[in-house]
Amino acid sequence: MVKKLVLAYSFLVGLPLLVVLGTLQAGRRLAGPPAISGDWTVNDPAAWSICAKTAAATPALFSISQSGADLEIALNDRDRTIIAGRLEGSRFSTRGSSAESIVRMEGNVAGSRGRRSLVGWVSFSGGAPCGLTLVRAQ
Amino acid sequence: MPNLQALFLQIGVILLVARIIGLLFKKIRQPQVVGEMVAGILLGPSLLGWAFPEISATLFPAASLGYLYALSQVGLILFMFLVGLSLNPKELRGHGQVAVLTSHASIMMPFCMGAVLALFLYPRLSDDAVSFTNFALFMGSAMSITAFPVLARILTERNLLHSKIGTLAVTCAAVDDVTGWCILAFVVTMIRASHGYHSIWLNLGGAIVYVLCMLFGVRRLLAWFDRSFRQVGRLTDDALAFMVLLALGSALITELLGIHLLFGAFLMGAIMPKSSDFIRHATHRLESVTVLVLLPLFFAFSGLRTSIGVVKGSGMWLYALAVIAVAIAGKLGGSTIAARLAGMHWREAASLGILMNTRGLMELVILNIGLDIGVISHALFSIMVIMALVTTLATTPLLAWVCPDRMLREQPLEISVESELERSCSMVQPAS
Repeated sequence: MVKKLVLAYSFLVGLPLLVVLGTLQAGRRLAGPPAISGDWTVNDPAAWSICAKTAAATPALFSISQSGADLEIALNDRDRTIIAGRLEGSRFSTRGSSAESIVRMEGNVAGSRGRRSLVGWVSFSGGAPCGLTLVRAQ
Repeated sequence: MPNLQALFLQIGVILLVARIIGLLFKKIRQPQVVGEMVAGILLGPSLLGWAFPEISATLFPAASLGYLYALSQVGLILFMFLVGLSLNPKELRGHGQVAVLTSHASIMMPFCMGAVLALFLYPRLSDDAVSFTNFALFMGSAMSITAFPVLARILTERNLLHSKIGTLAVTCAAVDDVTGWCILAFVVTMIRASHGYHSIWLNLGGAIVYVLCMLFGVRRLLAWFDRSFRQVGRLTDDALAFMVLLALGSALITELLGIHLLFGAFLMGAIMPKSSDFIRHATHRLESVTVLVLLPLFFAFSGLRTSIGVVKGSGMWLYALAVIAVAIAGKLGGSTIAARLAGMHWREAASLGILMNTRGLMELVILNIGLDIGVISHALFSIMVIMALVTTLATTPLLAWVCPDRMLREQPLEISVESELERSCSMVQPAS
């Protein structure tokens, strides 16, 4: 009975412990999507005011919620437009609509962790896309 | 100044909904506390915020939630103090090979499976702000916890406390609680250190020194409470106030050490004197307001952070199913196999596994810690809350199906710890 219990203990406690250690080692090679959740704003408000016209507020605030690669971006425009999308590697692509406008936004996550920026373009209601660079809002 | 009208309205609505849903759950033979957990979710964006967004925004404006959070944390600190108070080290030893093997396996198996599942979930539901090691350790801890208070409640309600299965389940849950919180304290320390809040060595060293001081120094001084109780024959208001002060002080110290508020409160409760009468009086005095008023606020606050709507699309529901399957396979499966290998019959072993699979509000506590320190995303938080509800709701019907009460009560009690268990299980029963 004692031998059986020692075997059972090794199988049910010792082996899982080894698997945990192996998993932690194996997981070190995994890379999660770049973390971009939080509040972002445009680095050039003057250019933004021309681009957004009446569709978006100035100064612009992009509140990003992130769950892995899934993104949800809330704009501080009149309609509080929410656009959803995904990250594919460092590239993001989002789209959403409100009562007044259809908003599309695409771009890349640039820079290293802690010094990231979002470089891409945004378009309102099918208008011409205008380039923008977002930086972390203070 | 806080908006008192809004706060009182929030508290009133939360208490009313929690009591109503809790009583409905009691009618269907579920622990009332599970109903209160569900009530919290219904008040959040999953139902109220989705169906009546204007009412939700008026009732729970974002600016007012800070006060609700503070109150819920006070309740949680007192609750964790009570959980620590109800744990008796005597229960953790000398319970035979079944308890040793089952309790250790019921931690390691779900921990291992949670860590392996993290390999799949990390690239999908996390980001590079969290290291894989921290994510995997947290997932393992969250999978391996058992809700000691809810388990005790289920056993008491079904009159199974003195059965062999009930005794073993409470013993194993107590071991799980202590081990689980130790692992989680380590994980939280690691994560906070990796965020650069504190130095890892300062955290770990400080935590070890603090625990040793509490176990070998402060614990002896706390015998004063028991002596005072015996002299006066009751717990005086001064003693009670001092006790709460110690719980809050200990919580503050562990928070400053970079662990978490709740560990300090739990530790202070765990080192309190363990004589039956003292514990009964202390619990009686503290638990009414804690359990009836403050805990529902915590459930509501958790519910406000839970959005079932985030779990949308077949992919997300696949992740949710995977989490639930792994949680059940690890905890229920691991405990069942361990108990079977230790010599129990299949039916008994499965009953023990089902009881150990109860996660309840302890899981909510852990998940809120995970969300606070940023190791899990809102989507994963919501998925894990669904898992906690499913595993807890499944306990009573599964137990009745696998092993009816009559059969469980007929099992001879081989472990002579009835009096201690009766004492400990009469404590910390969230919602009666």
